[in-house]
Amino acid sequence: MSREPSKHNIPTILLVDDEEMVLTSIKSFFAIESDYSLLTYTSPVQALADLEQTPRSIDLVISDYLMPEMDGLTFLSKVKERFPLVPRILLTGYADKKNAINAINNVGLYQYIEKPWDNGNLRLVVRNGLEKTLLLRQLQNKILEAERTQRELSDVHKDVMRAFA
Amino acid sequence: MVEVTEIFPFPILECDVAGRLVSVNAKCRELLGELGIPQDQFFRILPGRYLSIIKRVVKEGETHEGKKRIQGHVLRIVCIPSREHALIFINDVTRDEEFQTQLIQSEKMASLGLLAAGVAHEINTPMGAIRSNNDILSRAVGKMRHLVDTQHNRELNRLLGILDDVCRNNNVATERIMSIVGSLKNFARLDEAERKKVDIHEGLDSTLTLVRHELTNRIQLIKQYAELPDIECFPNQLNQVFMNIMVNAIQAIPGHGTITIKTSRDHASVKIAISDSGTGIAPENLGKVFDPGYTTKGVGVGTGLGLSISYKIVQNHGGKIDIESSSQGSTFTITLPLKDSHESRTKQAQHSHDPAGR
Repeated sequence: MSREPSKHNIPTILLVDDEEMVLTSIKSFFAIESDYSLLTYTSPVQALADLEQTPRSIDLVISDYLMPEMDGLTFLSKVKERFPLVPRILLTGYADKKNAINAINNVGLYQYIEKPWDNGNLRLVVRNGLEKTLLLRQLQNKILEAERTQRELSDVHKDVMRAFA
Repeated sequence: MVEVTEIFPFPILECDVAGRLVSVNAKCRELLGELGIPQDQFFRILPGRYLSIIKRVVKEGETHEGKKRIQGHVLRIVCIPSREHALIFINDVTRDEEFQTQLIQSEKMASLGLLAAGVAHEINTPMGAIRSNNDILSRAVGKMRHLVDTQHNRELNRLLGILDDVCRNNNVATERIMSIVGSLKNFARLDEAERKKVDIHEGLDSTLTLVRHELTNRIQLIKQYAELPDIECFPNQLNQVFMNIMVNAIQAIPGHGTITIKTSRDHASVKIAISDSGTGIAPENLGKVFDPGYTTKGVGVGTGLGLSISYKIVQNHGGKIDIESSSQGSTFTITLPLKDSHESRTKQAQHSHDPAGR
């Protein structure tokens, strides 16, 4: 599922929380402090269904932990199957750091943020996460480029060998 | 008949319809002796107006059940007719009652803890939204200042100033709520139902936050904290002890006064001394304050269990509570050992599974 890096495009963040007020607040914050585009969902199930229907590029995912339909960890691990490179952030009001740390190890979370969250901190984590996405994509492109060059080189090598054979 | 009642393993009285004592068994003589009541005054261990009950039991052939509280004992009394006489069975249920009230109290504390943690958790989400929105408002106000030339628009400048003030005020208010919620969580500490090394001062402070509204301007609080190492304990239980003693201290001060919380340590233990400038405890009551059910507070104010439970908790931690009291006030000193032997730790683990703590 690797797409072309959206270097000059606006980064897209997928945000899922069953509480509308959390979505509104975070969306408003990034609206005045960034140019990110936010896709918000109160239902993780709906979010997954939409991603399936209309494939699009996602640069970062933030999810609440305790939600009625599906918990945040299950949701994030499903997102991981689709977008393995995209950083996943767990937003947790669940006052249990041990669980969150376990989750970071098991699901491979990028970060977890405790509720009530601090906007400044949230922006920092998101910015770093997006930077990581960008770097990973650049790295992947470089690798692809290097592989292509190597293939070309080996073709040239073969041609040269054939010419001298 | 006489022989059978005599060897019965609990107290039995037999009297006639006029309330005259016919016989009294060995266990009953023992009970009367323990209570210091002469046999001819046996009516004192029965509920009031008992003669009319005896009459009814004998004449109507019905049984009667009652309860009598005397000198810290709780007696369950059953009266049944036996030919022309009344047989009165007495059962000392003091321990059962104690057990029951302790059970109720510990259940109450447990559900209170659950409630506190639940409320704290539920408040976190809307609180997070409010705090974030407030932050957004003040950021927006800042941006608006840069966008508009406020020099030439005094009214706009004034309005933005008001918005700034209100945002700051909101910030103070939300931080206050968050610290109360934090204290509630810290106080309940349901996530830490096991022994843990914690900062005692953190427990004292979060408990103080919860009783702060009781202090108001009436009571001045003085904190004298020494450098303390972290203590291995059940933090939620110790917080309950601090709460009980602090509430007592507040209630002991009739008008204006001070409460001093002083911590100190030596090579083997830490001490937490909570002093109040209250009315003190009368010398004759000093020995009773840790008794379950003992209270000088009116009905509905105290259960009389706070200190007895506190005592038990501190005892389970291998520590003790000392009291000094005069008419100038009281000091409760909690001493906790720095190092606990492994043996007492296993014993405490057993204790914590036994709701009666016996």
